[in-house]
Amino acid sequence: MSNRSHAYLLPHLIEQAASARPDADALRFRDGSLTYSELYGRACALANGLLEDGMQAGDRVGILLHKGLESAVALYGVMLAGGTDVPLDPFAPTARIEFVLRDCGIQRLVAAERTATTLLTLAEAGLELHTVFGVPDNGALPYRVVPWSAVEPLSQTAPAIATTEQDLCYILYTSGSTGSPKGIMHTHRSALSWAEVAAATYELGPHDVVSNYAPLHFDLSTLDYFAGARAGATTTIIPEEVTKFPASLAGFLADEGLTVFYTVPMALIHLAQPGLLEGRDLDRLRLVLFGGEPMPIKHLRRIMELMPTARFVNVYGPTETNGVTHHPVDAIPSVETEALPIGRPYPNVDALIVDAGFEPVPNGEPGELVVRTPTMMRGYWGRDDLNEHAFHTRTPFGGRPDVYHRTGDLAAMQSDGTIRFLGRKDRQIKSRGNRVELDEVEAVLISHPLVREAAVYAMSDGEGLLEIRAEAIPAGSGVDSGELIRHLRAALPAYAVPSQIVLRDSFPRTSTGKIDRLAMEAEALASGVNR
Amino acid sequence: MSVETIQAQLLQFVNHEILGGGTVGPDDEVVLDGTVDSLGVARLLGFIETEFSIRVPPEDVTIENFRTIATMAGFLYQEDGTETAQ
Repeated sequence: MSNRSHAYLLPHLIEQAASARPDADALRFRDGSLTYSELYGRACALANGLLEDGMQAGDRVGILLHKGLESAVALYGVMLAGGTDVPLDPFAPTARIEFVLRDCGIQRLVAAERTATTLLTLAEAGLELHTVFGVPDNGALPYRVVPWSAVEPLSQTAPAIATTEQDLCYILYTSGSTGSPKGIMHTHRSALSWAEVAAATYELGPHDVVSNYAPLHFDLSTLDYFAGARAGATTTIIPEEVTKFPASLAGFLADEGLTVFYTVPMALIHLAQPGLLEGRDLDRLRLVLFGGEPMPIKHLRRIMELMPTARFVNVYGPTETNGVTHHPVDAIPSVETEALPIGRPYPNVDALIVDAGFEPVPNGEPGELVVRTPTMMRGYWGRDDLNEHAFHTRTPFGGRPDVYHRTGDLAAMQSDGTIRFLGRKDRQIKSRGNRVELDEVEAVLISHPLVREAAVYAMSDGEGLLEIRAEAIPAGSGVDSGELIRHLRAALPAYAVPSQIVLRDSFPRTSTGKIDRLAMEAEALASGVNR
Repeated sequence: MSVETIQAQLLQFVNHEILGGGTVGPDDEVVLDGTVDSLGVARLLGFIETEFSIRVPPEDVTIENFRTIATMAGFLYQEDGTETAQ
């Protein structure tokens, strides 16, 4: 194994760690683990398997795996072969998975045996794939099938591929306002820059045990996997079901001896319920990072009291840019504190708050947060219409253009130099940490033949988080809320499906006849649906 | 209330209210297989509280007790009995 001194591709991180500390655990999951040397070796074998199968540099490879050790092998294996990872949500509706596979022209999948039903449905839908890796070859699929047992004997030396740091390393699909998901393209450089800044800022080291709360298709996981590897730390993957049960999660945090826990506010709110963390040994926990949506102060106060050894940091950054700003909470905030700021930019980040003409607004005034950083995306896959608006090029001196990403987030600079998040310019929301375009939910709802008009909006759940509400005017009789929920569940991830669809004869309208969603939200609040 | 009644009501809630017409059975591992997500778990707890007047303490909301509809029903039946006895 080479002693690589300059890491410019993501897999170089595990190559370096495997060389420096081959027997240190890179990952743990349930009762299993992979050392850096095993992870690197197995990823190289998969890379060689992909190339033998005819994969070309730049090809997109879908990862249809549940959380587990294979996820990491697949992630790095695809990159080592010069490919681009496309992590898929195995719990997403098959139609959504199919959309992504077709959208970016995926020919190869690394899949879990548990996804057999999904794979068969895709095959029946006429989806063409070249090869599926990682599932048993039982003749059920009309594709070439390469089980793990055929990959393991392959060479554990990295293939020679002319990949540069400018090449794509992964595409993360997220909610799109027109009714279909959109793919956010990251390069080795953007992902590695984030790994470097996160590892340095939080002083991650080989003795850290970093949690992995979110699955691969959720960008929260990039810090766990890549900053963890950058530091040679151990990343402990939290099983999916543990993340859904706060009591189980509380036990997990203590039993695994986590030192760094990166999660979403909802998880912390649930962990702060009485009886879960009291009496647990959490002394090793030194850092709690949270992001994805605003953290209500009253809950933050409680959880900080329950985890007294940990430093709490509010992390802000859309999937398009990785981390942009952060706000270490150095004292338990007072009850009167309105909202937690998103803080100050990380090093190597230029963050501006601008008006519609891209002129910086005075301090304290609201504007759009725009960002120039090496951690930002290349663009949206195959969506030049979106890319045109996602970036702004400013040419201040001598014709050298600076490219900013327009986050669509509204923010204001406060007098102490920290930035406050104010909301969105559009109808994108975060619900329990998940990013949802309300217009996408609305577009899917209205696509039902028995829906004449639909309105989807978000309202506070009374605990400081948002929940999605949907109302529809049916076209004729014979449709009920259950039928419409089934329709939404067939197209959208579960977190984007409202708990009920209110059917009504008419909608409140503005003077110009548009649906007045604000009035609907006010009606719902007044009727006390959440009380 | 019998354990069968509790189980039937939970099944009805998951299949009808959460899934909008699902075919989940009592022994399906609804949380592990992703049928019920974290929001679904929260809604189930709300349903249990209003329907059976049982407030499940946070420390009992575990994978062991909520693995399947049948384990949930068994757990709630026990809880119900304990509460009545008090």
